[in-house]
Amino acid sequence: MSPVARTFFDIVPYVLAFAVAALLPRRQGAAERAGLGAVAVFAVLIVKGLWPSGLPDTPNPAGEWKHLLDVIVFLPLLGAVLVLFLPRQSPAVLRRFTYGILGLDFLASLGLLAVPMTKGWHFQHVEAWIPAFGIRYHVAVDGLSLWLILLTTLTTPIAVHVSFGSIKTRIKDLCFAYLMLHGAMLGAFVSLDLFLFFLFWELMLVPMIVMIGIWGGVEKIKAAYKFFLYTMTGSMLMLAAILYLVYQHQKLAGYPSFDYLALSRLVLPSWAAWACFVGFGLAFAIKVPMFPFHTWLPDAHVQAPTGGSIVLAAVLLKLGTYGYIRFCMGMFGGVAWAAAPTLGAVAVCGGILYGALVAWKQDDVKRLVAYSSVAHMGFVMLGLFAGNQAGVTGSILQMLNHGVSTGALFLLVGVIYDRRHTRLVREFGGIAKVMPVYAALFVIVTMSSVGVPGTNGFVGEFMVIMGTFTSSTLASRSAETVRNFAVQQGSIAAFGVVLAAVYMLSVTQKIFFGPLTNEKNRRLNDVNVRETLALAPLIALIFVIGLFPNIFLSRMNETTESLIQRYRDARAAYQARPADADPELAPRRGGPLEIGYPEDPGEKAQPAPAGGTEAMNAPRPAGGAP
Amino acid sequence: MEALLSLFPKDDLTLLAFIVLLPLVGAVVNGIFGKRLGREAVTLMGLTAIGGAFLLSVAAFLILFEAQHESERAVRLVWHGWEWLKLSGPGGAPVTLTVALSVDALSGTMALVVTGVGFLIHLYSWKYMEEDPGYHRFFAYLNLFIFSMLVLILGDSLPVLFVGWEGVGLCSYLLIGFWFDGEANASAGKKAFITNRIGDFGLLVAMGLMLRNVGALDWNGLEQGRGNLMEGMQIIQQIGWLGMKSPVVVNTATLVGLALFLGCAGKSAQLPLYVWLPDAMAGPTPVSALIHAATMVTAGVYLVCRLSFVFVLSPAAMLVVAFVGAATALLAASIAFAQNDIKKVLAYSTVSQLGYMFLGVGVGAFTAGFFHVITHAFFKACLFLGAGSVIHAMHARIHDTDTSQDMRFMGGLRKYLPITFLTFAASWAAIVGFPGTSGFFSKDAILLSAFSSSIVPPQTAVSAPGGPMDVFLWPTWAGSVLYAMGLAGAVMTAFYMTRLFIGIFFGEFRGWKIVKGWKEPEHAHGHDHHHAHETPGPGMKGPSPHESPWQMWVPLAILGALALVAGLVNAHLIGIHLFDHWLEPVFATANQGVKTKGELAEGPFLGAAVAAFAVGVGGAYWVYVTQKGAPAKALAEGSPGLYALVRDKWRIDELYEETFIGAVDSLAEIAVVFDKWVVDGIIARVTAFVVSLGGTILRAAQTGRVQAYAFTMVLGLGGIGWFFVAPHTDYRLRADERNGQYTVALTPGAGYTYRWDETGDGKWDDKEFGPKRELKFALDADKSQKVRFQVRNGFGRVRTGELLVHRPKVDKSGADPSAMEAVTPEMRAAASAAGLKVVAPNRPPPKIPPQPGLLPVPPGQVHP
Amino acid sequence: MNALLPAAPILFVAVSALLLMLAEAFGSPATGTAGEVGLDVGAGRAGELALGAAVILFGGAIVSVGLWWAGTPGEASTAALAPYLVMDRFTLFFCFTLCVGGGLSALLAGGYLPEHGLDRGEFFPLILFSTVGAMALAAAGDLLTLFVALETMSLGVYCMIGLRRGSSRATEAALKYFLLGSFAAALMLFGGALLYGATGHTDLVGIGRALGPLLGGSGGNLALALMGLALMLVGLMFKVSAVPFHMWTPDAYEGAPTPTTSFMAVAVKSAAFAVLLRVLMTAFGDERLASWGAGWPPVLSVLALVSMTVANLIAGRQQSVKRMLAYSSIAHAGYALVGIVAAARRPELAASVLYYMLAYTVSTAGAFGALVLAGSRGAEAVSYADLAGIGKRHPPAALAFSLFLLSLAGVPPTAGFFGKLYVFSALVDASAESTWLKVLVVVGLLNSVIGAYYYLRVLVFMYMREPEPGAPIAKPMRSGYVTFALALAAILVVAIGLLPGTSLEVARAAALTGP
Repeated sequence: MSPVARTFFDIVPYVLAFAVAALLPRRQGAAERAGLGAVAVFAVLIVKGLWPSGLPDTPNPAGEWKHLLDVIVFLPLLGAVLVLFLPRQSPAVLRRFTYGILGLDFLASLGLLAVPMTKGWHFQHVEAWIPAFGIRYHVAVDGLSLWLILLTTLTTPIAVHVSFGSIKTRIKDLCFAYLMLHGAMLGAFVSLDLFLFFLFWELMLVPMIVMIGIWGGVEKIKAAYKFFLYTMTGSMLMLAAILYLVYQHQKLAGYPSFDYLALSRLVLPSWAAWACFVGFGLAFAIKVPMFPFHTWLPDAHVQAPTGGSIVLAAVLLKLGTYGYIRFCMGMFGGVAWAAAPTLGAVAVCGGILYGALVAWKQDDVKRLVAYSSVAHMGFVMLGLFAGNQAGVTGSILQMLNHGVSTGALFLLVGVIYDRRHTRLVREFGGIAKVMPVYAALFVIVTMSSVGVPGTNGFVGEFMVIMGTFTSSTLASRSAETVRNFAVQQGSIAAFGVVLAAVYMLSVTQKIFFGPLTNEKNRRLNDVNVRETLALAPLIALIFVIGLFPNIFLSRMNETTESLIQRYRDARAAYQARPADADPELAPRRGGPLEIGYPEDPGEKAQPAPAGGTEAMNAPRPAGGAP
Repeated sequence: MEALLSLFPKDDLTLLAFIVLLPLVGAVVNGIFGKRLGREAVTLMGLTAIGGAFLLSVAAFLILFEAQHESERAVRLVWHGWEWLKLSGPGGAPVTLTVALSVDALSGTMALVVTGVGFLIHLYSWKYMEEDPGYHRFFAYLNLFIFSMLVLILGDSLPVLFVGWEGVGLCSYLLIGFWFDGEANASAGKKAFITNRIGDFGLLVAMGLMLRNVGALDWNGLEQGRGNLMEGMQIIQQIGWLGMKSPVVVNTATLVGLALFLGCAGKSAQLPLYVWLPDAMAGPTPVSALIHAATMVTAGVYLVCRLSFVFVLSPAAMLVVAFVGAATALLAASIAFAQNDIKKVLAYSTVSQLGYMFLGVGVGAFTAGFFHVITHAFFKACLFLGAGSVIHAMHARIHDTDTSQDMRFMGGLRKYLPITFLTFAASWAAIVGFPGTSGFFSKDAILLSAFSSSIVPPQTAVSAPGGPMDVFLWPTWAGSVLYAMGLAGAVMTAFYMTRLFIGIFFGEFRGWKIVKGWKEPEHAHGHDHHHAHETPGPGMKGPSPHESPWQMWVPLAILGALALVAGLVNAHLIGIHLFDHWLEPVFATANQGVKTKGELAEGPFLGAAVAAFAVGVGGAYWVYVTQKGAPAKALAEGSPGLYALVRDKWRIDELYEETFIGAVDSLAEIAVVFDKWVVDGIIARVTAFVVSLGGTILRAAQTGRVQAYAFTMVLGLGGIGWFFVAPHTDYRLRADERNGQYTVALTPGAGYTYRWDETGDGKWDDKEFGPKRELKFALDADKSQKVRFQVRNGFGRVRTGELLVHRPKVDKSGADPSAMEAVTPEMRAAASAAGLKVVAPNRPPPKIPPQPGLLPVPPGQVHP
Repeated sequence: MNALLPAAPILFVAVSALLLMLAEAFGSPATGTAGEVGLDVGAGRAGELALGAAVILFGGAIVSVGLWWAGTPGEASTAALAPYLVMDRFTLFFCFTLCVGGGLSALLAGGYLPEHGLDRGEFFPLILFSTVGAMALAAAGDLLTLFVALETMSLGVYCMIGLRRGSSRATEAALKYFLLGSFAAALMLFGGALLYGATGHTDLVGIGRALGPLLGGSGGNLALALMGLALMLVGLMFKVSAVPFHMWTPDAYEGAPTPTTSFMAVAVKSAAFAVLLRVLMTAFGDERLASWGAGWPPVLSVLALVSMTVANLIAGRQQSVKRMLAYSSIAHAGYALVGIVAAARRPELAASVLYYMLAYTVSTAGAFGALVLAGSRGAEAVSYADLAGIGKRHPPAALAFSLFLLSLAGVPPTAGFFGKLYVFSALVDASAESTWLKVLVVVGLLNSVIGAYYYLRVLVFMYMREPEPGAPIAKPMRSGYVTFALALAAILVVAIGLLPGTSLEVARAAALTGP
């Protein structure tokens, strides 16, 4: 094929996509058409750009600019500080500024896709911060956090976009809150130093509370308190656990460190391991939220403004699941394994089934969606407890799916709320007649949330369920009932899919189908440009993930493999050693996973290895044991 | 032919991708731009898409035919799309799922039928839906359906099939609720979707089990690794107080078969999940014809045929399939007796015919069952379209969906609708089994094998936890019972179909007398009505029914012709076995498990079949023509209760409403209350209450009186003083359990002196209190020791304390890993590793892996 | 002279305080001040005086920093004043903290007094002398100096509380504090006497040495010593206002003018903790008294737990923000005591207390400052309702208030958070073998959740509530001094929180050479 022809065929898909998308809207709206076209082109770009080449990935440290993460995290935080100095009277300036910052951040985060996500840390940046306590500024991404970061940088702008549409008061506070929240969430995803992580983890609270409490509904203040106190309780226990770990490390290694890499080497006596696991696990279980700590979620969602709900559902909850993978499974693998079957049962019964049942009976759409996310997060947790490739990868993907579809659902609910100022199902009925496009979009998102094949929802749930069936972790008590326990859990989880259909379709029917009875609904106008543009990327993602999940999975696999490997080792070690043997440090693994390890400041001349990227060229020989 | 092959090389048949793609394009274009394109463009798009798909499937069929012709074994031509997912099989071995399509004899035939009938029905819908505001939406959905159906058929692995499986469910949801502004229609759609979902649940479980045992989900992999399913699984633990002697252990293959069949029952409207299909008639008639008669509902049968090699592993599952099929056939037929809505009658006859198909595949007559799928597709589609044409004609008269479908207002239509009458007659002949018609042959084949054939358990014992467990054996009485049920079904079918036929086309037209059923067009929303109608006069005048345009009767004609002659491709009587030979290689593996009673004289069975036809038709003729329906009335009045029960479909829906749905509903209600008052109540409310209560109480102490303040200070002083004066025996125990060294250290204190009793025998080691604050002692494993000690403080006050030290056993492994490892199926991981490789594209199919499950059986257990 | 050099901070503040007093007494009266002219020449000059006082105190802070950098005051120079004044790094650290706290309070007063018609000069000399007393207290190495310094500090505070002569609440508060304060002082004096009787020493080191042999034996002297210890403890616990010796705190804090409250909460408490540390570690550091089973650490740990819990529980139920802050100061005393418990096991852990007091000082002073800024004459911000909607009416005040409250609640990245982290990590370190201390860690951390609730409540009122119609609304005041104070405090809070490196090193150095 001649180069001209080749370039032609390279360009055609983009042109086609742009044309199709630009032709979509029936009304004449240049902005809308251009925007949709851009989204479509972008979708094609993602699919083509990320399509896995069969070739084995080779780490390419040269391509990693070690300050990229700093930029991604601190750009919004800096922006938040700057917002304080912008004039309160000119919302337009504030809006543009916020858009600008978030847009830049999104583009910057795309840079993370530049390198193949091989095993180990990428874009690692380590700086000494508080040497006295062994606290360092240590950030990096791997296949796990990569997609969560991208999800964050994608959804926050959407949420902001939506909020600017519906919120007209105190724009300055709004921008501040969003930028602050954005930075904090990103920070939490990239921190590999527990102090840093905890700092960002707590930092998220305030802006979220402000968002609920200022622009929320009637019960907003109660909801804000509930959210704050639940989360704070969890994080205090986590803090206690962190302090204990640091103390043990200090005692064993002779120098303090808050670093994840160092602390994950600790092998504690089982009572301590359990205590710390509970400390961390509770914090994360509250955030996820897992039964029975979920009741803050519906209140928070119902009261929060649409944008707040989107961020809360799409990203904030993911911090819980992310934390569970990274810290609970990463540092207390043995205990996590021992607890998995029980917790798995909780996730299945208390999350998937219970959440679905409760959701079915809600008359407030937002409440319903909130409970549906309890059910969805149940799937995510189940996959993690399954602890095999399919389960873990599936649940990481399911995190993205939940972010996309539930975010879209909240957005759609927000649309009718803005028009009718109510979310009660009985207020609606048959509005598909007056809002056809809206109805179509809602049905699409519903199908994604129900997990119809071809949409993203299916891929995640399918992988999780299959992972559960084949999991040997869930099946790890006594001989025979064991693997059947996994089968039982898998079957019940599969039944959750039926319930999902029940509640989602019921609400869809009640809202959109049947005769148009309520007079107030006669003159509702269909989704407008702003809303369409906000929805477009999410809808596009629904199908991209649904049809080509591999472009996402291929960037997770190596990470999850190493993660599961280490989880298995931890399990073996846990079973091998007596329950109350003295704490000790596991030998160094070396290899890419330990690049940036906090060396003993005493024995080395320069305090900390300056950034992983140089070190990556010459990986340390495995097991540089003390 | 060569051109085709050169265009589409066999090793990676891109053709399949195009077959699937065309309808999708049609759907997207019509769905998004339909409103702006206008009806003509939409029609063109829709028809060309399906027509193209049809031609391409013909091409695929030819290629396949060639291939199969030259190699005398089952040929499967695959198109490998792209890598979709990675799952983990047994022992965590990776299982890669590719988006791949494949065509073999079975799927090739099915694809032909689907695209062919689909095209005819699209053509029919052209006029039928002409004036509907949602015209473009309708065609978009229809194309989308064809797309999903093709994915279902051509999918090369169970998950890909599942994509189509749920896709068709979605389309039927959308199409049933096509006129969504009627509450009933929307509900019917929802009902269909959820009922199908219950079936899909079964499918998911089946996939999980197969993945867990076999480690593959694509057809080849499953076929090779199926032996791994022969393993007992404990589903219920032994519960002593329930008087259970032993835990319930069943063959995994049976579980898989039943789970799969649950899926099929949902999709193909079998007991207990058939309830959605009659309601589904709320959709437009072409939809009923295409989805709910010809294609989608037969997907279940297709799946059983597709996975026949898994089903035959478990005679129990097969028996369930067969009996459920037969029972469904009877039940549905019985309901059809008392229905007056012609679409309802056809719906129940569909359910009943599907029952036949399952009866067929259930007894291992996969070819026969699948053959009935095809003939049924022809005559049932024709019947539905004919009914549509009748309704369409009646609409000239009545503007009410229900009334226009009610056969009590029809009759004598043959002179108004000659072509419809003829085609309807043809397909009626086929369904009632008029000798020589397609239905006759297919039904006869099913009945025959229902009597003659049985499933032989595979020549292996099931490896169960407690030694090999014996497998279920096919009961000897099953054949005759099934045959009897089938025959009864045949008679009933002939009866009620004839009743329908007569009611519509013979006698006097009873539509003149409708005045009360009349509605003005604008009131009559929510159904298909066409033609500008002149306002009708009362009484006898008004527009008369008339024949439909060619777009509607041409499909009728084609289908009618097929209904008559299609049987000839497999007419055993006259020694034609084309169809058998064509499908034979596909079912080769499965047929090893099927055993037929040698050579039976076909004569008696033939006679029985004809007799059934004669009795049914004759009876109906006698009742409804000679006696003018008097006996039926008499019966209805004779036993009104029974009649009402039958008319209300045995009240099965109400039963479900009361039991399952009601149960789940109340469960949900309970959950809501529980959530609000127990979970939230305990965790949030109670805590908050306690905290604030504590605050209030403590606050009361803050009186503001200085004396009180001073007094509390004095109390505090007293407390501190007391603490200093009282002796304390706090101790710390440092234990080194590995070496059994223990050290007890008592607290230091002002003027403290100590004495010890190391052995705990009550005798102090030394009389006097001394400065010895720590006690060291050694201990053997699994021994314990009591240590007593006394403390005397500066004020001479003494306090005694003691502690019990126990050194546990050395072995500490709590959840012993060996058991776990024993369970994790490494050995089978190795076994199925070979099976896994099948999934990877462009690999030769491996040797059948060594299967630990396949052990020789003691002769006693083998089926005679 | 050279001998006096180590005492430079104290002397500097004391001398310039005298000068300021003179200036205040003989300076020309301000023009156009109504009422009490003649009686009080300083009337109407609060601004200048505040500035002067602040300059002096920050000067004191700078001097102590200078002294720190000038190099360790070795044994020789410390010995010159020892045992009466021990000018080691420990002292210097506290001098710095006290001066900063006092300076901030003085600045607050500069804005507050004129605004509320208390524009009288004597406040500033008083605050200066109290601070001198506090610094001396921190330096005291002998029971006599200890007592004198304590009284010097307290007397000033009594007067400052009663500054608002007209208000009965203020006088009542002053009286209560005076009565209870002298009661506690009496107990302490008695305790000192007993110790002298038992050991024949009044200097802490000497007492510590003499106690050694006593603790080995038994009998009368031991009893005396123990009673002395108990009484000293009570007296000091009163000053740090730990439960159950806290009852006076809410009343006194609420009745006093806000700058005074701030001074009490900041300087008095820090000084008390300084002397508490020194006394316990120097005089009663013997392992038989600092014993984990039978000595003062268990006592303190119980007091700490009770203080946090009780204070937090009650604080949650308060309607007045000032009272709430009073209780929160009690709770923080509890947290700091945790640090001392840890220090009993490993002396260097005392650094956590030092750091905590520094963080606490800036945050609390800032919080009270924000409270001052939020109110104006006749519309003082006292209750939660007063603050409703202030986030809209006066964003800077609200923002500053939020920052300080978050710091007090221990939300990162603030000084308060790191302080709490440090204290509890110290306790974890100390709790290696003791289940009880582990429990203390968890309960203490959970306590801060309750604490977070009532701090958050202020934010809720400031940002999320609209004032009810007719409800009293605080009208924010305008004052350069207060604003400056807030800015300074805010910078410190964030700086210490984000980059605790230096302050951490300093605290450690101070603690090591300390007792």
